[in-house]
Amino acid sequence: MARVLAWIWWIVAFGRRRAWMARRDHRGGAFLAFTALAALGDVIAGYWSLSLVLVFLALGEWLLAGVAAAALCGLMMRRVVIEHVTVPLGLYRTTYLLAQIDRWFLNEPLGAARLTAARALVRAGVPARAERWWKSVAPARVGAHEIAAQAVLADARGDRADAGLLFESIILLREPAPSARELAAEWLAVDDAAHGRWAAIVERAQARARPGRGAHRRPEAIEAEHAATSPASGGGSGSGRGRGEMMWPPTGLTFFLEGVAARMLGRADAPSQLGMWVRWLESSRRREMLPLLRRCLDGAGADRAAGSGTGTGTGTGTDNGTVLAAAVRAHMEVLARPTEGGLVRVAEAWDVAIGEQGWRTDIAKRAIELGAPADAASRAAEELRLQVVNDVAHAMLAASVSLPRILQRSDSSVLAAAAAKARAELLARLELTFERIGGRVQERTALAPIDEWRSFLAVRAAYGDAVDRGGLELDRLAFPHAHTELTSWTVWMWNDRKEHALSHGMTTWLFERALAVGDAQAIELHGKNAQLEPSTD
Amino acid sequence: MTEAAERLAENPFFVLGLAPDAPPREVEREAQKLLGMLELGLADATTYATPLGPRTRTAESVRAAAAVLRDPRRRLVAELWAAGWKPGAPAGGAG
Repeated sequence: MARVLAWIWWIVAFGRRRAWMARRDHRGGAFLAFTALAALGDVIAGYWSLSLVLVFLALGEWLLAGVAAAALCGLMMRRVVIEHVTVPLGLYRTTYLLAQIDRWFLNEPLGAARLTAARALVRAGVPARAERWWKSVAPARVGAHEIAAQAVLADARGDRADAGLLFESIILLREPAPSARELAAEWLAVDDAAHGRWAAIVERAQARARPGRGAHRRPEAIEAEHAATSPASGGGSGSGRGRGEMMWPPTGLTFFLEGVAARMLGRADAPSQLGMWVRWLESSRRREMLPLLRRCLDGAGADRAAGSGTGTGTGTGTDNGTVLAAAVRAHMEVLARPTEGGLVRVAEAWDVAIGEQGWRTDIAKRAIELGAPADAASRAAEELRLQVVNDVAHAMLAASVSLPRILQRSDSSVLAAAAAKARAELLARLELTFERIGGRVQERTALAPIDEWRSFLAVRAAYGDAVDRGGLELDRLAFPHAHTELTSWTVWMWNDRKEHALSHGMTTWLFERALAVGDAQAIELHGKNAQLEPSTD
Repeated sequence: MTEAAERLAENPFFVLGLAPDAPPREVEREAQKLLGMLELGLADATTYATPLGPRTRTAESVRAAAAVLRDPRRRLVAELWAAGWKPGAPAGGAG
């Protein structure tokens, strides 16, 4: 009897585990085969369990029957119990206990149980009495699971921006954490689908790491990817393609949304209509997803051309007045509604106005008429030029235009001067951010580990945004400051705070940036640090 | 409203409702007239047209505008930014 039970246990455990792994890799034949094996085990186990309970009931042993039923449910069907009973009911303590069993079956770290419990905690409305318990099960060090758990709580607070930033940041960590990655991928896919960002879903679906635990964050993998994607575009985080482990393993829902995204973008590898129905059946939240399914089946590729229109098409026109009046008119238009095209036009209009031969003569004559000092004309012209450059630079920042791209559109001297000013402004803002971080690290003013991570993500986002706008030139100017101030942060986090996963995530990001700008000294230092194995749990 | 747009909307010629080539005498006369109208609380004087849309006119803004136009150097810069401006033009927002 005991031997039979052990075999059933093994079949269920083995089948479930292999099905889980196959699902994370690709949802093909292996996934179906091992799911069937696990289901067979479940049926046998269910039959035996029910028989055992019935035997106890027949013998009048009600208490034993209850204990056996509870124990078998908890052990054999814990996933079903967690997903369909304890999490929806907000039983966070029970969820936490049941989820810990996965440590034996799936080698999940302890943080994974806390992540599952966070979902139940959210369903319970995050009651005040849970706070002490939540702190008592806090991990010694923050890793991917804890970041995902904090993202779940942020989402429950309604702070979707924070939740998205935290979920997305899991890619920076080396630890495998498949359950955290699955949850993050699902949340990000649902968020992207809600905003029509189909390309982002497809991009995430294709991101793969080389086989091995966290291999994608090893220095050699980052270096190989950098070599494959250089010249550096700046700001992005690495995502290998081709064969290997899924970086963002899909759940049924994510898999469905990936299919929707592929069809919306009209991709050649988009699933067929039947395939989409199968994915929808396999997905969770089917009722909520049905309109999306119908939309993608009815109008696949409809969103392909969406959102491509830019520019207001406003002309400066010089037929109605002088070139100066035309430049002033264009200037006011672009201040009211700055666009890339409008900025190019206004800069060129100013080039014409300021460069016009008779213009300075006219100002000089006017200065004499007004009885102004001798140098008033040249000073007025210079003041006008400075104000124009300043206004155009600020409009460039307000419109978030890419400086290298806009400079490619025109060789206007006003545009070049404004772009230089905008770049200097972006650099000054970044330097201020780095200095604040550096000062805090020097004073050893510690934040909670998850807030240190949030702080790093904010710096990374600001850097990425600035580099997106300022291009490689800004990256090269800003990186030495980032290297100086942030390296000491990573060292502090590793040596004193013992937050190895977080420190390692920061280091690998610095390593990526060092590769992008070709800073040999920084590449050597961060490459060496990135070789260290971060420990979690 | 950006700082630059605010600066442009406060051009003294817009505030006083004058063309950039208005002689100093006319500047003084218009400033005095507007101050009188504002003191009496006449609705016509409380707003002025700019290429960026209508703005509120106050006694302080009228005095400041007149002061700028009394200084030949500062007036020269204001004239450049008011190029092509005609008082009484429609006060719609730019773009």
